[in-house]
Amino acid sequence: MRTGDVDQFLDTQKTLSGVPRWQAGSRGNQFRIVWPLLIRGIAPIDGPRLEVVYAANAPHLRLSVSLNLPPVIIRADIDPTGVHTNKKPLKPNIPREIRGNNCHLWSDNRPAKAGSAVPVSLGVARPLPAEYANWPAALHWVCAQGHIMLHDAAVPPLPPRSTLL
Amino acid sequence: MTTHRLQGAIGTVAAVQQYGNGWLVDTTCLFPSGKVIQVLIEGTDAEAVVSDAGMTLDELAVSGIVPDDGTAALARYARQMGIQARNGQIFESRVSVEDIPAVIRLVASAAQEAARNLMHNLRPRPSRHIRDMLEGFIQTKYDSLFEKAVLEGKNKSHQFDYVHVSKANVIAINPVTRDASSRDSRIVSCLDVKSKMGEKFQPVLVYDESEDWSGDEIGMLQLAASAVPFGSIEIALPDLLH
Repeated sequence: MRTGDVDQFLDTQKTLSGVPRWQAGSRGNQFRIVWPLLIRGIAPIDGPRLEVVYAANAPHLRLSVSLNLPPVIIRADIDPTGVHTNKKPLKPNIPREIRGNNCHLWSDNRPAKAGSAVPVSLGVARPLPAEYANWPAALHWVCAQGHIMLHDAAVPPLPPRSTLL
Repeated sequence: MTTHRLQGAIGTVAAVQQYGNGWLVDTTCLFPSGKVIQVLIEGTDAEAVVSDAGMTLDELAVSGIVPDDGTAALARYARQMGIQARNGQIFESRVSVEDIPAVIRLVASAAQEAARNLMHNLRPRPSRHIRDMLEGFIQTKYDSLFEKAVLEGKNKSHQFDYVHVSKANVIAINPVTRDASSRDSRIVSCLDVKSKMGEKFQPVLVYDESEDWSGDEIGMLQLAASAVPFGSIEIALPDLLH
């Protein structure tokens, strides 16, 4: 996977396929949605998808919405208590440290050299605008960033929050 | 700089914030994404529980990685630090207040190691498939020149996806992935047909260079065939055909 492949993918108009359902994640109180993308009417095997990870045991809203090719190329993290550290060299308007909700844009994480391999991790983050720090606004934000058409009626509510803590 | 000023500046390294019935503490460890690893402390002065609050598996999940058994995936890294994994969390229980700093480091280090290694080992497959990419390229540029064919080797017959036969040579192109059994099978096919047909047979194995191929692995391909990264096929193929 090269940067040009991702650029081309992002430029293509996409839609979401099927009805999203919350499913159990890799630990108790972790819920996920995996929502395949349709590109020109086809959802390829192991192809791109929108993913949502929700930690139902957190005392506040903690969830991530990502566009996963794979790898993940755009992500919004709602986590008011989380901390992110950006490594040098810092791009303009990118703070060294972010406390709270943040987002990982492809434009911030795209290697400058044409044809470079796509990074496995989105290391560069910036603060997520406050108006997108809720469900389903974060989903709308990722869809807008990734040129994905989203129909409001299809978005399911969050699963009930656990009271284990 | 003064000691007082430095202490003030680094005071946030282990910042503490209320989190439900416990406290969330920043550490100096980072997940691969740059997210600061935090540990959750719950309980009493005499018997606290220090855990990653499940954030290691959450970090993997937001990267698209969901192990079949999350606790089992973490257990090895917890054991290396002398602590435990249960219910998808790295943790240590019955920690006295004096031991909390040491246990914070152990939990954070285990979380860091687990995330780094599991992210590398369980990384999802790229969606770019070399077979599809090669098919698209050949169909667009050289469709009339190649056809699927079975070539006889010294020991058995082997199928090649794209074969071009001329008076001078037989060019046979196959895509190859990093999967060991698939790769070895492709190498054996080329060697077997070569031993029957000799120098006239010119096998080409095309690989996806974005799949982190090592020099050794490409060297193995070159024992049997010309190894061509997909990105260079447009340049390499005209040379092979003339």
